[in-house]
Amino acid sequence: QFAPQNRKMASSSSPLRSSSVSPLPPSPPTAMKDGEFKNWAELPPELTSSILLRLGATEILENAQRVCRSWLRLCKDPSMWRKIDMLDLDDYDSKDCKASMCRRAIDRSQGGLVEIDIGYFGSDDLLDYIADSSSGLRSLKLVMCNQLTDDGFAEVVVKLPLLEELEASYCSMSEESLKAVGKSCPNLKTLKLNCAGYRVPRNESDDEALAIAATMPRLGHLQLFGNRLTDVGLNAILENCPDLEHLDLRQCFNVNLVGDLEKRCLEKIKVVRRPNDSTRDYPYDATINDVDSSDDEYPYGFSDVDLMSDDEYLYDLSGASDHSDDDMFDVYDDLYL
Amino acid sequence: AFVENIPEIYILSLLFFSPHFLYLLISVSVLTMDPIPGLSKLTVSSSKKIVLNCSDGKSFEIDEAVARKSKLIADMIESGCDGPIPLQNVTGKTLEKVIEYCKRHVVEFGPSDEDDEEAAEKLAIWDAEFIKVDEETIFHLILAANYLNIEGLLSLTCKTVADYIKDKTPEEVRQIFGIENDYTPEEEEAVRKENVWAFDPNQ
Repeated sequence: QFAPQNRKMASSSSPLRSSSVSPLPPSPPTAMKDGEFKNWAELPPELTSSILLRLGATEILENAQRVCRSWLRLCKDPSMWRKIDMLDLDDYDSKDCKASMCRRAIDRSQGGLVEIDIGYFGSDDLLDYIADSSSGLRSLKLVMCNQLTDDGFAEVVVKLPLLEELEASYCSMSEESLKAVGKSCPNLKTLKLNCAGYRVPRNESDDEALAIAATMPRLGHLQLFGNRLTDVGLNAILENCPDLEHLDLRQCFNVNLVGDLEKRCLEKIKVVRRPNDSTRDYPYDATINDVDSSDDEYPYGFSDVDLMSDDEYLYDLSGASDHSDDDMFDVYDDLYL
Repeated sequence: AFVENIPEIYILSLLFFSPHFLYLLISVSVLTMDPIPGLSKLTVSSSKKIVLNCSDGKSFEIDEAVARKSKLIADMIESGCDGPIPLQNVTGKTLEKVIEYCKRHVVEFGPSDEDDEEAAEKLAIWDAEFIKVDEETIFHLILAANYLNIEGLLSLTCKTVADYIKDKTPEEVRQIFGIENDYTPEEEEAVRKENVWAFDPNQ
């Protein structure tokens, strides 16, 4: 029985105790008067949990549980740890610290972990730790985990047969890892494989798309933001993923979504985000890399449009007499004669 | 004054007047004693309005679709609850705000994806404005959303409070929530040390 130990209030029975949901609204001992502000500490524990849940694992472990004893008790309850959010995209600390904290959070879930989001500190070891303790994991989100290896990842997904959602964004996950997932996780319905978009046409690869087509027949939701697939890869996916309802191809600039391909796409799939669609609701940085990093011909940051007009600037610099009519330059003529 | 005298006339009429006049007088007294005139004519099953009665006596009449945003009320409607629904755990002021939320959220999204994205954005902006209220109001909204079982509102209110206490020190949170620190100094140090992460492969 949760007894608020925090405030020594001369209060009679609290009308708040009967606030749990029941079929018929129960009548409390005293009606709550308008303007009677109850202490936040008297919030029923399940509601305090509801608030703390939305803080994210790091915040809970570092701050929330230090507030008072009853909050510590709430923060140790396994029900608070069924979903762990440790993306911490803006919160940098040593990778070891974060990994250690993550393990602590996983321990608290006591095997009931259902969903986990991990940021830059993700490693094969950490994923192994998750897989060993939480074989019932349904959703795994990895963002900017560049320490992962194909072998390590393949070993991990074998232990997660119930996985339904996988996101591996900005992780450079290879097609080998994808095949491993496809083979080990028959229930996979959502796959998100996002990376920075490239506009340079010769940078093509259908490896990932083909791996997906080959091993993930039950996909319903596929997000391939910034992927280098071509029409070939897209065709393969359309052929082999009949359950697909949502396809996000934003910044997949090698896909030419026209004609028959476009028609088939729109017919089969409910929601299609096209290569040039708005990125307003995209959760990560949508800056496009316009230039292949190995190309030294043009300065970084020029778009294709700018490249076309470079010729004009060259002519100007080589001393064409365009400025003779310019009033402003008459002043300089006097000075430099 | 006339209304207060009716019962006496009623008694007199029993003795002295014809059944027709008696019928008239009984009808008038019943009607004037009726707190919500015409309510008895409303049958919930045939109309689409639901009446909600608050703890402080206030009453709200809303569309059934709006009322159904509350799973509690929806279940009661399902189990054949007719007539006004008593909500003794919610005051009029809070319920008014809750109804505002439900009305805005009962609008369904359009079929195409473009509509969805824009509509979702607009809704999010509306939510952000809606929840710009004082602490006390949010507190009552959380309780109401929980009691009435309105998932979206509970989520919105809890997230707002969570965002508010995020990145605040434990002492700052205590002040906001009016919580007394019931840790002993030793306990507090122990919990603080727990958070000084040293990489321990055995942890």
